[in-house]
Amino acid sequence: MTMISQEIDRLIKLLAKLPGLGPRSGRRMALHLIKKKTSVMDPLIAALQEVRATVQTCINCGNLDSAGKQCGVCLDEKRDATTICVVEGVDDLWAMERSNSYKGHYHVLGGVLSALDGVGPDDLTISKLQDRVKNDNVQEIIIALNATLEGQTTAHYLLERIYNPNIKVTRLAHGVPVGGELDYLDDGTISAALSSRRPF
Amino acid sequence: MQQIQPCWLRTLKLQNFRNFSSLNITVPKDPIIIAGPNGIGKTNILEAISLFSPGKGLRQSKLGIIKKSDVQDQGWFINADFEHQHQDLNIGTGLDLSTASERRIVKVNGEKSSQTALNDWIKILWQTPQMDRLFIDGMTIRRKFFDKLLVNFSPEHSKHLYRYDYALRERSKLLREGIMDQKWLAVLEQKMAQESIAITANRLDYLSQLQGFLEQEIEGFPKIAVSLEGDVETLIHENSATVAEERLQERLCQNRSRDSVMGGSKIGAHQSEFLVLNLDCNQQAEVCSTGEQKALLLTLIMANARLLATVHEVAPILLLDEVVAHLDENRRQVLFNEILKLGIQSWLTGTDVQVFEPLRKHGHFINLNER
Repeated sequence: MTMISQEIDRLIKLLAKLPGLGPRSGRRMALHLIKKKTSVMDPLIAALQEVRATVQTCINCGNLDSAGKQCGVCLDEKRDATTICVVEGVDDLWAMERSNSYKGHYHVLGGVLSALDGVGPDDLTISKLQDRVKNDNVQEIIIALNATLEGQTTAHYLLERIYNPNIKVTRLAHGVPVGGELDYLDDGTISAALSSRRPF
Repeated sequence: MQQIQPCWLRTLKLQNFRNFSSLNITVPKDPIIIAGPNGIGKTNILEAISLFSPGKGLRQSKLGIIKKSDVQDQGWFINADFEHQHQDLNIGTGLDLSTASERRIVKVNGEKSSQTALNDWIKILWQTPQMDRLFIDGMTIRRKFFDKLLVNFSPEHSKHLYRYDYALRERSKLLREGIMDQKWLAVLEQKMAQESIAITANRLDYLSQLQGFLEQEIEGFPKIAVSLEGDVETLIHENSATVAEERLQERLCQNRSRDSVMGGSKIGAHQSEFLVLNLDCNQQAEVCSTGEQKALLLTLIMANARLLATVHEVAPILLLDEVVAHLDENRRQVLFNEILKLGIQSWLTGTDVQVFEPLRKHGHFINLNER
């Protein structure tokens, strides 16, 4: 006979399915929510409902926003629409925005190519990117995919698909992180930093 | 031989490891002999030491299996104090069950570290009875054996192998499922070609360094020649690296139809074969006798120990499990002399303590029956 009621058990199982969580953290979160109904659970329910009702995927770039069919970034006329930064997911877009150093537009790819995981070109928004490149007055595409094996394979594939002699295609630099010490870097990173060196 | 920097294990502590609830041993730099009956835990101690290098250790076991079977809700832990280039070094590793994923945790001098980083500190070589079939089993086993030895010299080699394996598996899946996306396949084949050339160049460079040590006279032990053969090697011999890479990519592209039916890839770094020739009788290792193969393997391991000591100027730790089983008395004596001459910490196991008598003066004997 189980000691946990069906309702709580269901909540734990749902929470445990969230990324980064497991059964143990699911139980801990469920208990916390039940103990703090007013201060945590009610605001959380309200926030979830609000997000559910208002947040949409931008039809242009794939960002998530509550601004309407297009996101705030795409609607912002102060941003440079001739530059598109291609990122793997919305979390990467947010990371770029946190840096406060990029003022162009984005394109969220929705993942990376992985034959082993069954993710092919049609599962990503590559065709949509090609359309944007054709129709908008794009002058530069920055490929900002993660420096993982899948990310770099996808980057090379993208390069083949979006090739246009009139459009500059760049990628984020690989190498020494800000504040990093050479002695602590692996050979591959140092080698990448050396080959990407630039004049002072 | 030049003066090599000492690196040796001083104390070893095991907790919930295989048959040991806890074990605490202190040893000198001298050869360590662990004698005792079957099942008492001799190899378990060597396995514990082997886990101070990256990977799954000398038994290649899953992490969960290593835990003492009657212990619930606890992981296993091993900790050792080393003398490393005249400095104290402490390394701890184990399976921490408090995390959801089954991963090995590593700490170096109390700071969290990674398995890969272990290679920067300690070099460990081993020989086990399971490796006696090295020359009889398929070329994949032999290639993995040599690649593992190579990683001691060039940690980057494991990254090349990983990246190559990824591209190979991705391409195989696309071909198997009939996804003939030309651009996708081309990107993967380019990666396979790049990594194949890097891997093969590493292997050839390593063999050229090793060969000098394989030909050194060790009385009673055969001299060896190791060569690497395959299509990629031929491409590298006949072309510059850039041209070899382009040619390999072309060949991969041409082989798509064949590979989609047969699976895998007909060409690439995974098809290279390490050939070991016994120079004394001019015979390939696989046709030599069991005892001769054991001697060939020992020659390889000892040559690697000498190469490591020369290249890195840091002594490796040598783990020899049941190593004297197939050696005649003369070879046993030569092996013991060689171990003492190398001056590196060696751990030897065996059921019969008598065969280690020549090491009585210079070795440290551990009798597990008394613990």
